[in-house]
Amino acid sequence: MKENNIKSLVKEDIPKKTVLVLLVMTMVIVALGIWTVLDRMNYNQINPKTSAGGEIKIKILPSTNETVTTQQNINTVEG
Amino acid sequence: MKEVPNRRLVGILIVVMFIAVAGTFFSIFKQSITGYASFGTVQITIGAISAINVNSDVNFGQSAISNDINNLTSVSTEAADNYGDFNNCSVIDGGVDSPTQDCTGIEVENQGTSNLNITMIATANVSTFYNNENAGANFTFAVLDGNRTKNETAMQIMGAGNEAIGPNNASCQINGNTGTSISPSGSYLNGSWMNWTVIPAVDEYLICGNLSSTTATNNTITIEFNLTIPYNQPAGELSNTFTFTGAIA
Repeated sequence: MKENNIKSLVKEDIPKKTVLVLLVMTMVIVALGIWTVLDRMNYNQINPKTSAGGEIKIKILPSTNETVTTQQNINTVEG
Repeated sequence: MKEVPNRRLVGILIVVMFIAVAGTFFSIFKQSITGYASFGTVQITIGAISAINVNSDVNFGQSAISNDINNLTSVSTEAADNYGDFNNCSVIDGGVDSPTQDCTGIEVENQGTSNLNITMIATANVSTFYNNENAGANFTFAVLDGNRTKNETAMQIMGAGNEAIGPNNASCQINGNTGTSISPSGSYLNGSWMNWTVIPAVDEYLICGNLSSTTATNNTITIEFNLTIPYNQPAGELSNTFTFTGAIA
C-alpha cells in the first residue's frame, strides 16, 4: 500500500493549468522584451546628438608702460 | 506517439523565459544594433533630423590692457567701445585693425526639425584661460534670444510695443538648469535671458532647453561673453574653444 502511494507520487505530473499559466507568462515576457528592444532602438535613432564648435580669441599686447620701460633700458645701454 | 510530460514542458518554458529576459537585457546594454528584420520585412524608422550650426566665432582683436589693479580691462561682445584698440562688438565685422574680425557673439542655430536642448562645454575656465589666479579675473557668458544681429528676437517677432516675452515666441523657452521659463512673465527683452554666468569648468552646461527648430521663425540663440583681464596678464594670444551639443528635447 505504502509502496503504491510512493509510486503514484513519483509518476504524478505537473497539472496542465500550471503549464498554461507558464505558457502565458512566457508569451508576455517575450512580447515585453521585443517591445523594449524595439522602443530602445527607436529612441536611439531619433535622439542622435549633434555638436558644433566655436572659439573666442583675444590678443594682449605689451602695455605702453612696458614699451616705454623697454625703450628706456635700450637708451640706457646705448648711453 | 509518446506524450511529452508536463514537467518537461515547464522546463522548456522556463528556459525560453530566461532566454527572452537575457536577450532583452543584452540588446539594451550592448546598444550596437542598428536595424532589425522581422519575417523578411526590413523596417526603417525615419527619425527627426537633429543638426546645429555655429555661425560665428568671437575675435576681440588686439590691444594693450590697463595696468591699474583698481581699473581692470573688460571687454564684452555686447559693447561698441571696448577698452583700447579692442574691436567694436556692436556690429558684425567691427574689427579695428582687421575689418573682417567679428566679436558679436557665438551664434548657435538649430537646423533640425526638432526642438533641441543645447549644452556648452569650454576647454578653459577662468583660471586656466588666464593661466593664473590673479584677483579680479573673470570670464562670463550669457544667452540671448535671436541671432547676433539681434534679429529673430522675440521682440521683433512680436513687434514694437509687445516686447513682453511670452513662452511661445522666444527661441529658447526653458532654462534647463532651473526648470523654469527662461523668460519669466512680465520680463522684457532688454537684457540676457540667463544672467551673466561664470564659464563652467569641464562639465557640460545646459544653456538652453527647447531651442526652436527650423519650423519656427526664431531658431537661434547668441552666446555673449564678458572678459575681465588681470592687470598683470602677460602679453600674448588667449583662446578658448566651446563645444555646443544639441539633443532632441
